Amino acid sequence: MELTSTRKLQSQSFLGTDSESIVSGTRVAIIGLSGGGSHIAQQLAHVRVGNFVLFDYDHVEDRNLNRMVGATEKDARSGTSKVKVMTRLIKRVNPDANVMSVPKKWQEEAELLRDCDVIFGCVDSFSERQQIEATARRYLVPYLDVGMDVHSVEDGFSIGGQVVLSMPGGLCLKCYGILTDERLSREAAGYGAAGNRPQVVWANGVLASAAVGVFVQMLCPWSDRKLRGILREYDGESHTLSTSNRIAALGGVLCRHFSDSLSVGDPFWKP
Amino acid sequence: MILPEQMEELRAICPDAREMSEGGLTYVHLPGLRLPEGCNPPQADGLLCLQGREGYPTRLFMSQQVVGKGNNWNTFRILDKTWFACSWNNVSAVLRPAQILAEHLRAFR
Amino acid sequence: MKVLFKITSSLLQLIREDLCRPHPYAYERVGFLSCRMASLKHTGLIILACEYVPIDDEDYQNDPTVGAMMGPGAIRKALQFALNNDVGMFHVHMHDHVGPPHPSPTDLSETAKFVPDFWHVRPQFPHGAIVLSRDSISGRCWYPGRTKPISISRFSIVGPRLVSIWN
Repeated sequence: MELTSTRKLQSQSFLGTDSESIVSGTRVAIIGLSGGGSHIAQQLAHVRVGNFVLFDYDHVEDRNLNRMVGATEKDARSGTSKVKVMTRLIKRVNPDANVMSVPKKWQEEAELLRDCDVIFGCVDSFSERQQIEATARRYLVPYLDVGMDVHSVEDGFSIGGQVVLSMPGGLCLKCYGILTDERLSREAAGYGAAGNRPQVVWANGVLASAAVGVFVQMLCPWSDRKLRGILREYDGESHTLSTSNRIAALGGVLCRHFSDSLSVGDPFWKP
Repeated sequence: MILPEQMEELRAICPDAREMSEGGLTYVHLPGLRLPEGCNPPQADGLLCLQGREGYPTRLFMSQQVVGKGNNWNTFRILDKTWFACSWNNVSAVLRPAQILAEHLRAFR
Repeated sequence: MKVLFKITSSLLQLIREDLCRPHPYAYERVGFLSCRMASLKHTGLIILACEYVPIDDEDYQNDPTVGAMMGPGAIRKALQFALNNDVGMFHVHMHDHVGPPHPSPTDLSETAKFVPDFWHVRPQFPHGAIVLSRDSISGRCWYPGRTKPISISRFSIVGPRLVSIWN
């Protein structure tokens, strides 16, 4: 059977006959390509997303190899850029994908986010999340944030994390309690502490898979069940994701953090 | 909201100063802000945040880093532009905006 | 120039609900959508819908020859809104059918008259007109400095279901 026919057969599945064209016509941004971001890039390549904008200013090091899907020892020895590794990975799965790789801080080329359909944020800083979300809200782009954390507890360590969807017009990371003044302050006080938190590949994989599932559900829903508030919390002990209690607690609440129309569009725009 | 007389004080320093907001925070955009003597660049656009963020009660963001001045410069995206800010903390939000600005500019002396 | 128009599904639903409400004498309802702008890299424009501004019942003219005729009060209020809120304004109404909507000759002639008037209050912004059908949307934008309107190339409806409509 020809490869093209196989692909068509797969796409004429429960996701709908238009799913292949819908997904291939989508443009996604992934900010942060190490832990969660590498899983997301790989899965989106398999899902056959057609257009990628990849942001990461960093290069592969030895310490990334335990969790960065697609990175090799050779990449670590030669200091290959993370965007290059991800581009290679995506292209191997889907040579037809358009991949724009940005080996810089995303803030320096943020205009590229404006016409993305979805932004995936896989960063390890609350300040970065705040900025990405504000930018995503400004251009009415849904923002899927993936985060995991390993922290010490009385009897050892605890692995946790979350997947959250910040949907324009809907609740934001502040509404969900992900971004708080206290977290931002503590992070700022730590200066360079952010960015070196331990990560584990299996937890990243669970969280990334959930994020990709939400993304596909937004594009090609497979049932009439409406996608509701997405805040899924990961329990590293039971290895499960579950809907946060905050969703029910916030029922009916409207976001007041991005309710101002001045938060939309380029405030300095000129024709 | 910044009081009109406070905006007048800011416009005496920066004629095109404009109040803006994002994510519930108030900023003053200061295009072409003149920096203290000896700075490189001598002027740059500034963005003054008059409310707390990231543990700073107020903060001054610049469109360019000031060479050789300030420590721990970081990059931010605010109002859909890229800004840079150094670690210069504890400038109280209870001061008048023009005073807040003056205190932040001390980081570049 | 490529023009991308983005609107949240919740705002679009709000507009549809208002436009479907019966009016004492007008056959159909119309309204305005305030919008803000951004540029797309490599020459393009993004129009971002912010807020729906319905026309008050008393601001329709009683004209049985057309579906809906805005009175001077409607235009004045919309102009004032644009001035007060630093936005571009897009007229919006609905055609009751399925499939891509096309502006009627009346739609084209009327919008060509009043849309450019918004440049008197907000000369720096594009303004325009949007037409909805039951399941689709199309529109045109009057860009500053250009006399003829540009078709909106793509609509992106942002919500739990992401929908792109290409024109």
